[in-house]
Amino acid sequence: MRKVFLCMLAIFAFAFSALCEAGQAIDFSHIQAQLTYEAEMIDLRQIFTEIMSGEFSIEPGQVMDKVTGAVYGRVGSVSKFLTKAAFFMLMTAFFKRLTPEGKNAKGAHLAIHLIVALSMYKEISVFFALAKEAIERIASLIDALTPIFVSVIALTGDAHTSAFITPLGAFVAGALSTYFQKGAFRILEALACLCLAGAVSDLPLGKLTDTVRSMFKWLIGVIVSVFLFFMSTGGAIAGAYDGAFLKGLKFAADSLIPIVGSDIAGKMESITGSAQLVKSAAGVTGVIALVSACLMPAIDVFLAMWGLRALSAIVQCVSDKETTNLADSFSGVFSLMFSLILASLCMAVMYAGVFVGIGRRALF
Amino acid sequence: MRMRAFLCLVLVSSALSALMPEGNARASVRMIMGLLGICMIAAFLRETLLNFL
Repeated sequence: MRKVFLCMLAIFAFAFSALCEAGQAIDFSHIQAQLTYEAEMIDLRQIFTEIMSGEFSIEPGQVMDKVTGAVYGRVGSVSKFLTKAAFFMLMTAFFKRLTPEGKNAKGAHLAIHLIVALSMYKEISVFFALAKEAIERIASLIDALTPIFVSVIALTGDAHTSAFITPLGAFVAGALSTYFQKGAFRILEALACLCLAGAVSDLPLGKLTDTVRSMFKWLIGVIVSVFLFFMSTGGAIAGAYDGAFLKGLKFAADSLIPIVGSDIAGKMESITGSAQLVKSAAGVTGVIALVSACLMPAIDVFLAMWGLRALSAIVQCVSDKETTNLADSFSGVFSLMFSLILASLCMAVMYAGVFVGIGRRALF
Repeated sequence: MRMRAFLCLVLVSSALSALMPEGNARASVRMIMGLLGICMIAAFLRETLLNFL
């Protein structure tokens, strides 16, 4: 028995030396590569080092200042889109008033609306590409973070949590790249087409548009619910197993080894505590990377959504019904796009949260 | 792509109904366009579902 515990002590000693180098061994280059967004870079290694040394602090005031600064920074680029949209809407109203009522007026109005709607659709496709890129970036980050999480979590002795993290990461990355990118974006593009057709033509497409919108909401709801179910059940079970295992190991060392048993148990606590610090630092760094990866596109889409909504309200008094409806419908498409980015971000952040928060600490 | 084709169909249908005079010919064109549109939507939904499954 004594030999077994001496062997375990040696293993923990090796684990401690590996732990000391873990901070240096974590390779942030793959993650860092995903964060380039209009030449704005965040130094993840510095953040990780600051967390490890206890210098890093997140205060709500600071976060709000950063978000406000980012919003102000994005207003310029979104205002170009809104200016174009306002120009199109006003030009439609102007031409419609110039066109005399008559037999051929309907065709002329359709042509004007069509030009405006297609121009706005072309502008919106830029935001589609942005949102798609953001979700792709989150999926790539999850792929890059999972091996880091697994290697760090192995140091803390959480074998079951480690075995749970890998399939969870695969599920999140798969859901983002398959269901969200290939499925949800297809539906969203279809919805934009239907909004355009419904606003311009006289065909009754309201029910079809509502059905496609409802499909989109259900798709996101089902995927997020499956993820939450998987995460809450699997994470809790894995954490409980690891907690029981390490608590039992400590108790055995304390009670079975004479004289030095309590010392060994104490060392085990301090070693796993240090590993927990590395684990938490890597997790928080991962969360910061995930938020940074999609913050700017999310702000762009959010500003475009509210800008179009405000524009349609302001221009309504001079514009016609079709153009106002078009702006309102496109604003709805933006709101769904925003919810898609937020759902992806929430899933990714909760995945990183499993790594930071759930574990055997609940049992100590 | 299919939805863009559907959009074109809707727009052509609207243009025709705006330009053609009232009558049987216009109703027939609209009916044919409507049926084509239904086929396109059905194909789109089938394709989307197959993507998930």
